[in-house]
Amino acid sequence: MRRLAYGCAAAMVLAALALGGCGSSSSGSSELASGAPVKIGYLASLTGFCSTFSQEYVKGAELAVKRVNEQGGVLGHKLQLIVRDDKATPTVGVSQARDLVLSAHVKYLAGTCSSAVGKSVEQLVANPSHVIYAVGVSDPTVFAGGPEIYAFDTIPTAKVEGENAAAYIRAHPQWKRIAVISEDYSYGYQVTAAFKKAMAGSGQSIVSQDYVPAGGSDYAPYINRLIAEHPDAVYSTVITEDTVTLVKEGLPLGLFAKTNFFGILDYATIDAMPKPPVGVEGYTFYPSPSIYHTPFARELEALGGAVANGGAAGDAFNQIQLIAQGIAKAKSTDPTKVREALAGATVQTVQGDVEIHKCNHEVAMPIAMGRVVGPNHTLAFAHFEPLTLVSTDKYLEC
Amino acid sequence: MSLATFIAQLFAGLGLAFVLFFTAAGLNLVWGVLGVMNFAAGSVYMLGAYLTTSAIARLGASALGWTVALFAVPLAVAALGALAEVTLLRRTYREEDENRQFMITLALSYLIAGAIVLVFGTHFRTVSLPGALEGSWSVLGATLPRYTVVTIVLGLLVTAAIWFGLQRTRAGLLTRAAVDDREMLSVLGVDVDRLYSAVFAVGVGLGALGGVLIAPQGAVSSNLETTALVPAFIVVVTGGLGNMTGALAAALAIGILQSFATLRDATLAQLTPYAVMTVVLLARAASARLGWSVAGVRLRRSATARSSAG
Repeated sequence: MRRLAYGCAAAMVLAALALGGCGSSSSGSSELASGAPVKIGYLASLTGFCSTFSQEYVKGAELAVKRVNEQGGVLGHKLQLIVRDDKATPTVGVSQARDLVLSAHVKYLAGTCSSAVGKSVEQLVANPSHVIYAVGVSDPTVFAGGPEIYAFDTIPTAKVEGENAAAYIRAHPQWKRIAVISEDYSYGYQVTAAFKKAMAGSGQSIVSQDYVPAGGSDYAPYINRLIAEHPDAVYSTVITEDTVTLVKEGLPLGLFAKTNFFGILDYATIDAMPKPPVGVEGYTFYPSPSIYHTPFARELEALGGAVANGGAAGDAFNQIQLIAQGIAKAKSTDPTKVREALAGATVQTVQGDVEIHKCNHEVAMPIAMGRVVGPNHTLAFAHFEPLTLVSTDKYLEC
Repeated sequence: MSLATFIAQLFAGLGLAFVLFFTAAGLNLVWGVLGVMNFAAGSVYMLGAYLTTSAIARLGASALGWTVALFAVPLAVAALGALAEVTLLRRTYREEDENRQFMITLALSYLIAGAIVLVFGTHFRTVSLPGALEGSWSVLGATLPRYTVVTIVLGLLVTAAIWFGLQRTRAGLLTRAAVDDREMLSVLGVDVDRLYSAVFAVGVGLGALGGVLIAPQGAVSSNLETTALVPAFIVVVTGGLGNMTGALAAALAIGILQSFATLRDATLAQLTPYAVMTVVLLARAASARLGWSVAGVRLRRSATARSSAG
């Protein structure tokens, strides 16, 4: 029994030493050997929730790696992508991340579509691993650890999104009664909470607040309930394929005729609708090449219209680019030096040049807003016109 | 609650109920006659929806295109179901190997889901309705989508057809007889194997029909599998295994109650199917019969009857 206890204690000490020694700048240089590849572990939810567009995340990441390598890599190191399935489950995501760090010796992680996985992995890389983690998740608590964190966000958080929506609604004071419809998981709750907080003191009342099941096939009862409250405006954070269901069922029920609808409507989703909600006000922060005519946006077009205009591929592209540019700015592959170089830096993304806020490592990605119009001479599919790009700098508190 | 809201919510609930019933009816038919709990029911429903998007893409979203899809897709899936039954399940009836049946249908569900990803990709698909079915009617101030009304009418017709088929046709008579004594039916010269294949095909076809009807309502994606399977099981369990009338009553209760519960609390309303199932099961346990399961079309004989028949 005593031998077993000693054996367990020894194993724990060894494990702690292994984790502590990995990537720790204090224990020695974290610079890669000359010619060694920069390994980037990519967490993609290839099975389970959000598996549908996780394939597109991988395509975007692979495209970015290919582009960087075609240009000779970064600091003489080629990028190497190692994709792992996190199954959109925190325990699996952490297990995969730990294996990538300990077994594959990666110093850079990226990806996941799940805020829960992102939060769990961020805690893993914070201490003592010191691994850069470029991630596009909406949970603002992932980036609440101050400038010492190793995670960098590539999309606006739910807080930013909710505050921006509130600013739009507040700009229409004639809309007294506001209804909110969101998805029944953490993202929907967080955006709604941020929206409500930002609406406080506006004089506009939130008369209805509903959460629809993600992946549901029938939203008619929810739409009827919402309309029965006679709101002046509806704010929707229902996303991707669920937006299709909301629009298809909402049109005959008069949702858009009876209210001023405002919600997240990415180009890939409204493009897929047989009848897009023309005249409705929408917004998106997805890096669609049709919105941003930047060099990186043109690169994304190689993936085809549907994939390029969806948010996943562009976000993954940005994540890989952030890592590569961070290494170039730091002139080092040491994650701690890369972290210091990226904080407060301006990086090139699909959306153009954006600043990384030093205090929380959130990237001030613009939000595109506009009225939905059908295909016309400008674009051969439904899009926003006129299009406005809103800076989110003002929402990133430090 | 205004009258308009009441009518709108009632119709929304009925629309939900009938789509639910199709999958549950298919599941119930296969379980009641063959004794097979078909875990591929959700995948079949999803397959029906995906095949509908392909059919409409080829035929066009016209009335003719949709009419053809409405018959062709369930028939095609039914044919595939019959093939699966003959090749994979037939041997398991004689052995009464329920574990193997479970594994086979579970494997089928994974195969179908994987095949859908290979053929259709991972991105969701959409399909439009014929122009005549878009829009809505106004009834006493309530806005009723035309498509929901059509779904309800189709639901009533299919329900009547199922009842008529089981109660008033020779095939239905043989089906009900096969439940009680398969061996005796075989001795009487009935090709029970072919009968079972037909029943399985019809059950699978019903599930696919549910997928056809749900396709134009929203996005067709891999989420459809789970959104169909769990509620279908709840309906079957609540209505009584093998009880078609019970399944219809359960589907109607769940659909309508969930629709009205949404008016009170949209989040808690999602618990309605589980709440209804719990209440019914507790009531059933507390008393021997609730009355409606005896009066309905019952396919599955009781465990006692099975064991005494040897």
